[in-house]
Amino acid sequence: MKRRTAKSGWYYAGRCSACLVMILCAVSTIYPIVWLGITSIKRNSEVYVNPWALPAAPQFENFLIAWTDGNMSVFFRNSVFLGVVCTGLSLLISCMSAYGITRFDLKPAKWIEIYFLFGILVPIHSVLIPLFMIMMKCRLLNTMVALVVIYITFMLPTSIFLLSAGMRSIPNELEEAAVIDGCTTVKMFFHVIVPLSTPTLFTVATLNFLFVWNEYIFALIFTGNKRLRTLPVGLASFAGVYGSDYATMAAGVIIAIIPSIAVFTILQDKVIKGVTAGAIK
Amino acid sequence: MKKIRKNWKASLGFLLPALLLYTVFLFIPVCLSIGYAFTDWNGFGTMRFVGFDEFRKLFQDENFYIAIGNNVSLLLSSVFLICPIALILAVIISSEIKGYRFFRFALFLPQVLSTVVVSLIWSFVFNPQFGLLDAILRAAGLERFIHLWLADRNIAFRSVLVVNAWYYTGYTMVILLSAVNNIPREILEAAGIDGASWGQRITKITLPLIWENIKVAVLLGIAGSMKAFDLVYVLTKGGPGHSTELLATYLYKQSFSSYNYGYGSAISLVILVLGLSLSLLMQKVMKKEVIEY
Repeated sequence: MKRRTAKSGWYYAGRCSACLVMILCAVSTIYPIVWLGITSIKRNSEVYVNPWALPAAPQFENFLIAWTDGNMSVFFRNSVFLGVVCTGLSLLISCMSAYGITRFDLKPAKWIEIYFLFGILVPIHSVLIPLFMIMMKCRLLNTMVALVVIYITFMLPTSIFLLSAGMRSIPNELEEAAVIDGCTTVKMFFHVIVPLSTPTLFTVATLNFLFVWNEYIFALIFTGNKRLRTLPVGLASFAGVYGSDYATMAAGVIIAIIPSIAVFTILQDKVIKGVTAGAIK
Repeated sequence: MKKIRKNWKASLGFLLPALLLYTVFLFIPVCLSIGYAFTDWNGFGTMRFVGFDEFRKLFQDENFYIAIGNNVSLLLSSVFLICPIALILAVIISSEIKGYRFFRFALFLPQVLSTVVVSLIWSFVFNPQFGLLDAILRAAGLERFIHLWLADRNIAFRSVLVVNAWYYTGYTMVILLSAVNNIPREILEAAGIDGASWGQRITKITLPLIWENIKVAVLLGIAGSMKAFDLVYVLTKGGPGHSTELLATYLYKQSFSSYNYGYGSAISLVILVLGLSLSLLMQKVMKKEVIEY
């Protein structure tokens, strides 16, 4: 790259202000979280006195109280369970249907794909009431099954869209070779198609896991029972129970965000790719 | 090979689980939702067909207009505030600035947190007794700007807009960033050598080349502002009064607190129709040839 020889003062002023803007933005996103972290190890009396001050002695018990008395351990377990089960099942089901759509000469395949794509446009709030009624009829209200089924369903359109885009680029020759070796469709799926789709599968897995981990309104409606609450619902209810116990509440929030931030720090590129996948493709 | 490809039974077998789930738990509910909107059902007793009665009630309900107004403000702020800011940040971050990965990390960070967590963080920041925002204003000697950020009905929704911007700007920036990074450096340099100013390079080169991604960002913003619920519901529950009500929060309250399912379904039909038609409209309006380079 060539360097321009003469650079005006304006150029440097521009660069400095650009840097300044970026630093301000970074501070505005990171500092509130750090500040909340500091609040979470204060005594409640200290919280009110001076928002800037560091705690006299760090109160790590706050985390223990949030984890046990505040039921964070239960919420955490529920969210991990739902995240793993729903992500796994949604990957399997959407991968299968992407295979069914893209790798067969089926006439209505195109229409089936459009039918699935319509789901991307449907705002989830417009189906809350009928879903509630269906779950009530099936006696599935207040069960994990209801959430598992709904989460998988609502992740299908985007997952199928991304996976079929990936599968279309798998060359036919590979399949032909597998057929000559006596491969059946099921074997073909598990031994040829799935391994070749792994990059997309990782992206979709990130997207889906985060969806389940962060989802609020379905979990709010379908888990009235305290023992079934997920992290978002549990945390939001926390605010009601620990109304004035701000230090414990802050500790609860910090417990919930530590895994997200840790994973994001380690796998920045993968996470960004996953979260924006539906948008950029 | 041909045999395996023509095997429609196998193909349907692979499609079946997804088709079943999708039809039962997404497609049928959409149809039911449309049907429910023309009844006065309250969850008990029989469902009575009442035609457009619920809609007539809805269009005379002033809270409904507050909610629509707030959804529109959210939409306008995401198109005319978040998108331009995100664009500027994307241009800055891609212009050989140091710490590219760090800044991208910092700006995208809110997006990996759940909306509930974001709302709780901001309820701490806005807290009138020990909140960070008031502390900052005090430290800067700007006491007169201190407000009850979430309890003052004239301010509350603006506070929500700030939180919404905090949450979505980084995401929008990343969507634009990938396109900005794809613009070949040589084009911009050549323009610079030919004497094009910074502003000219942005409007004549960068903007047209990333138009597709701007379109996506705008569309996502529009879709998102129709779907907004979590941030508002956790921060203010639609209050004080109904000043921060959104279509979705109003729908939730009407259906799951007051059990007016017919009325709630009328609201959800409005959300569905607005959401779908806005996306389709924007797609038409923003149509533009993709420029190859």
